[in-house]
Amino acid sequence: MSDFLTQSHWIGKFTDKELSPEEESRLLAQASHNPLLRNELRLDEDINELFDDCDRIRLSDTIRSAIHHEKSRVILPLYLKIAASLIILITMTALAGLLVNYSRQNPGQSLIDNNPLLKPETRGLFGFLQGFRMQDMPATPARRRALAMNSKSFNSYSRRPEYEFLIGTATRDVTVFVITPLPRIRCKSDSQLQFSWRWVSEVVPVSLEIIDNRGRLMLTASQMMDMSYVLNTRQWPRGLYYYKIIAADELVTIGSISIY
Amino acid sequence: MDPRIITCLVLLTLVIPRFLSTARAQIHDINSLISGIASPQRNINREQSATEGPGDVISLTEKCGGVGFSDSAVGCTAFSSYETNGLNSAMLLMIQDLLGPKEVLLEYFPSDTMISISATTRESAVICTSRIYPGLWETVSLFLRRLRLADFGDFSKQSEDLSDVLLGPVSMVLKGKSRVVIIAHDALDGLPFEALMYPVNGSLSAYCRPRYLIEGREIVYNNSVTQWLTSRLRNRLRNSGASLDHQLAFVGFSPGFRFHECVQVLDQADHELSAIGKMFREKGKFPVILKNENSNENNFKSIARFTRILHLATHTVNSEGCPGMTGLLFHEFGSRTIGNTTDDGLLALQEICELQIPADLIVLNACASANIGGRIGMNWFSFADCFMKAGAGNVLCTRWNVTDRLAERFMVEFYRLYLSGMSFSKALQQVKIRMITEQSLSLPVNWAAYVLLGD
Repeated sequence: MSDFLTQSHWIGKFTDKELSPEEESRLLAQASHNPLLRNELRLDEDINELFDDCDRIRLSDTIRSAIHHEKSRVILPLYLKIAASLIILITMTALAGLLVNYSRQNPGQSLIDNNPLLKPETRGLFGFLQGFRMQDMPATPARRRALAMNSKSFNSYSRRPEYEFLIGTATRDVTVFVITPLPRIRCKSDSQLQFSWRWVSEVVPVSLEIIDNRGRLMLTASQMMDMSYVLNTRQWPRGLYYYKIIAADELVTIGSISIY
Repeated sequence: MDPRIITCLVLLTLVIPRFLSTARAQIHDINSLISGIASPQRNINREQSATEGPGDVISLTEKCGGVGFSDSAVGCTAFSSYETNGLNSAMLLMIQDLLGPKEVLLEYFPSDTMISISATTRESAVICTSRIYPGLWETVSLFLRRLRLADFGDFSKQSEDLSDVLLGPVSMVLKGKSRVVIIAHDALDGLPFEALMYPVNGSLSAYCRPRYLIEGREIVYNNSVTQWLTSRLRNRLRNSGASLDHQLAFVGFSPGFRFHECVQVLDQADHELSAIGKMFREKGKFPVILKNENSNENNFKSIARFTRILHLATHTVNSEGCPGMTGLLFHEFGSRTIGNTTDDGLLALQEICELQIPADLIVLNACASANIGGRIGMNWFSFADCFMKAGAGNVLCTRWNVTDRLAERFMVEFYRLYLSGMSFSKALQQVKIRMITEQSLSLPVNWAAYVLLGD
């Protein structure tokens, strides 16, 4: 048994080529006389070769799988890529929408208000869900207008786009025919402006309202049965004003007065 | 990409909106319970005393479960109003049959102390009441005045208050409905419901953005249930009837008033009709555009009966003291003595009623054509009523004065959307939404003036 173990020890070293030349020659000499030892040596070499082959197979498998993996990534179908991109996009938009719409601090508010592209309907995914918006945001056009008026760029000559569209066009009603003034007037601060009109079908009371560009009522002359009214602008601060002529509770015309 | 990551993202995308909508629905349910508003699905034939809350459901009937109203004191009041208007059980069934799945018919009956609201859908009929708080009518008046006189001010407060009273009690019925037929009586007649804020403030969470009612729903007005029924039946017959080849697709009248001394020139009216005519031609339909001297009363009377869409871009004249002087103006107005009913250039109310105009749509693009009118016999008729009486299926008219430029812009956009395949009410809703989002047109004086009467 001990002889076998000793031999095995030497055989192992021989196979691993760890023997010195002297020891190797001794072992080979011994093997030439001992058929058992010869067999052992051959068997051990075969096993070693087999192990080498196994390593090679494993390596080739690894390489093959790596190549295959590489190929599988390349041939990912296009529709999957598009779908994945869309999902990522939607998720990002949703998260951005949440951030903008639900943030208590609301840091993006000024950006939203000043950007016409960012309308309520297009704010993130949650634009599709009606009714979702913070209540402290300017919900109605009137509130948005109020916000715009408080901005630093708004001065006493700033025009109001909501009224500018209505200026210089007649209403499709012939109760009152406005003769003067012109739709847009520029005058000095101590001028006298004459408002005159005439009735077409029957006499109805006429009212005149003048507001500044912030919407504050500056003058009301109501229920006038005369055909004219003279306005003195001496006490009026410089700025842009809008006048409205109202007949029988209906708006007849809107114009602007710029006092410089 | 790892499929697990994709799955997670998909789940995330699906779950977040669902979670939020569920949360919203729960909040809505809780609020509904608090305010005592019953869900039509859960509370069939449920009755409540009128003293329980500000918006009470008096009675609820389901189409399949038989039709009938409760005997409660307030319910009887509402029902008697209904009976006065000729609405009985058979009629209710007929209304339900004619209503579309996404439609709701709201009828408002204001009294001294409360407003009864009957809400009829294809599935159910419910009568709710809303208590009239002190100052409600002042709010209505202020709201209307601010709207029609182009007030800068924030009228949201009035709008929200009115919405609480008028839409709050029927918020559950409005849920899921995209088209609302409104019939408002007495003091509520002429109220622009589209400018009310909806969802109602308080019935939903603080995370809701109030919007105008028009932003979520098409709105059609009628003067009475009978008028709506007639209009709908007439339109159904027209759509299912014989060929309409003999009818002209579009006829437009624009007197312009270029050489009149006493009438404001309508420059934009000519452009309006030219643009609309061009759109019709592009769609392969032949429009008839009558401008200036061709836009006279005689031509109108001869051609109106052969028209599917009749468009009038002109002035109205209102003379409350003399109904014969209230009318729509044509080119010859001012050049001949008024009173000669054939060609004086003033198409008076009485003359309209005597005409036969079986048009699908009549557009009265003039000032306050829904409000200006006068007595004919015992009844008061507006221009729109007269045209409905003459046989029109729908009338698109204005509640207050509109400027020439606005009228042109509104109508060109309306016809563009209509010719793209939308219904009249849908096209009208879309025009209004576009105007709301455009800063220069966002004042309700511009978009809330236009209303569709009819089907």
